[in-house]
Amino acid sequence: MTALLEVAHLTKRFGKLTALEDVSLRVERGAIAGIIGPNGAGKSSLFNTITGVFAPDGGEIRFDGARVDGLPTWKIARAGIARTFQNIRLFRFLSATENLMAGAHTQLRAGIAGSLLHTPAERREERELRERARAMLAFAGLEAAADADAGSLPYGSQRRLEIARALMARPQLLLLDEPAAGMNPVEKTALSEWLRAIADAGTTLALIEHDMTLVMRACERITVLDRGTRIADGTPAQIRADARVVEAYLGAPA
Amino acid sequence: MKSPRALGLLALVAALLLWPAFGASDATVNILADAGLYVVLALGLNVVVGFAGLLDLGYAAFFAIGAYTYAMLASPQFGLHLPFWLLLFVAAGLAGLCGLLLGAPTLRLHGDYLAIVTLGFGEIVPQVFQNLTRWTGGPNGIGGLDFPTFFGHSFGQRALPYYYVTLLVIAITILAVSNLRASRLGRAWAAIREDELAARHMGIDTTRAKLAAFAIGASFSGAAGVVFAAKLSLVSPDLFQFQVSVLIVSMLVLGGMGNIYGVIVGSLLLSLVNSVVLPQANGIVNALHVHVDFGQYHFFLYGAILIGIMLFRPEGLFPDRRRKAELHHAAVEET
Repeated sequence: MTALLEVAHLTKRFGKLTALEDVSLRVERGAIAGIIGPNGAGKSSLFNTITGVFAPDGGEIRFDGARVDGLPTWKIARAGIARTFQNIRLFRFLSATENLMAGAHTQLRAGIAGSLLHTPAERREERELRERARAMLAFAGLEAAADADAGSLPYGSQRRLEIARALMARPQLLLLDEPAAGMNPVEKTALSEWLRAIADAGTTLALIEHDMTLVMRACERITVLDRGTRIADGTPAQIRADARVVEAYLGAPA
Repeated sequence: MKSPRALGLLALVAALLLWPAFGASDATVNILADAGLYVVLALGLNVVVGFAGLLDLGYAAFFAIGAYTYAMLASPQFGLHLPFWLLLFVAAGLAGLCGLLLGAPTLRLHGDYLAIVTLGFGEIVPQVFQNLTRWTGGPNGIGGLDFPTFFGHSFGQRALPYYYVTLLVIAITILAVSNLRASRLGRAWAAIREDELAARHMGIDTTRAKLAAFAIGASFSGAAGVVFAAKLSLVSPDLFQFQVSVLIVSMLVLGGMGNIYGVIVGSLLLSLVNSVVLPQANGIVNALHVHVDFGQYHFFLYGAILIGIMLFRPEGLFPDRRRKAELHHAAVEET
């Protein structure tokens, strides 16, 4: 049985700067995988390369058994990879509900004719979509924000809305780039419970996170990057005991 | 009727249909029929500029393509006399196809670069019609176009039938663009306008969505061209110059980009200024023995309106809520 996501020997350079060097990574179906590392380790570059924002300079990315490296972002999204961004990228001037509806783009069938004519099939689809968006708002604990502009919501709510928007695409794999950034401890606890619920509902998660408590509690497997290379990979207990990881975070012992 | 809104709409439609019966002169009806065509053009361009956020400065080219389609297929030019109603759809399709052909290689361009390419297209199309003398009559154009018929009744030269056809085209256009706005495609456009990268991550094929905007916008222009040509019974290249494109963009800016009702108001205001206010101003000034031809001052007027709007109300008279917020946000980010 192959893993859901298999990244093999991935390399990405920007001029002379090597953002990723020979990085390999597996995310098993149903898992919550963690990706950690100091600032500038290449974590976000890894996500951007997986989702086709950057074309890799070497290596392979397999999703659900098929090569996706080199595909345009929208095709990778259609293949079933959704994501959130380190600096939240909601559609700020659309309402929370509209953001969710836009997130479900891949799940809809209406083409140009359906959109122009509001055919009965299109109306039914839109009605069901509104219903799904309402349910998703409830799942994200954002019912009160339904009609508010996404950009006007409090920071923690924006993070949750972005995750909810990604879930609207019914992704097999959800990449979360620092989902807990800027959250207070109460929000973080709620978030990690919510992530567990998302994983239990069948979505595989991979998250970049700086909050070690959250990562250690939520993730079954953790990959550590430092300066573009993978320096460790294992269970939270193994990672905590790994000398190279400690060194990367705290510097070499004197 | 369910709501006061629907009742108001019904009253408006009734008024538009019935007022010419109360002794309106042919000239007045003619002016409103012309203004109505600009409403169609502005609503069509609004799909491209207002919904999808793509600046198109050559929109008159599609208007020309529609008009010439009618002129070549319903006139003595080639002895072809295809029916007006059929050509309305043919021209819409053809203009949409030309929109695709223009868009396919150019929509990778952003902002100003795209605007420049479309501007070039807008210059090229009338030039082509001017130079293909054998088919298009060159600079003189094609005259003596067929009058449309409706169940055997010829439209003739009176403005009234064209006024009603224009109303019909406006109604269809309003319905189509309102549907689009609240649809999967309309949401995709809004997403692209706000954050193209995030839109791609939603699985939106941004190139395709932009192409759709170009083609749909162009097809309204093509249909308007058919009505325009039939009403005038004449086409020539100088009717579709750059100033027509600029005029339509000005209508959007004045009325409020993105907002369907704002765009209608903007287009009516500007075309009435052109056809009523400027000639009247001539009369008044000439009575004072000052000889100024305000007809020469169109561009000055558009420029003044655009600058005034930019200074005092950059979102237009009746802005779209989203577009207004986007605009003000952009302004804050720049300062």
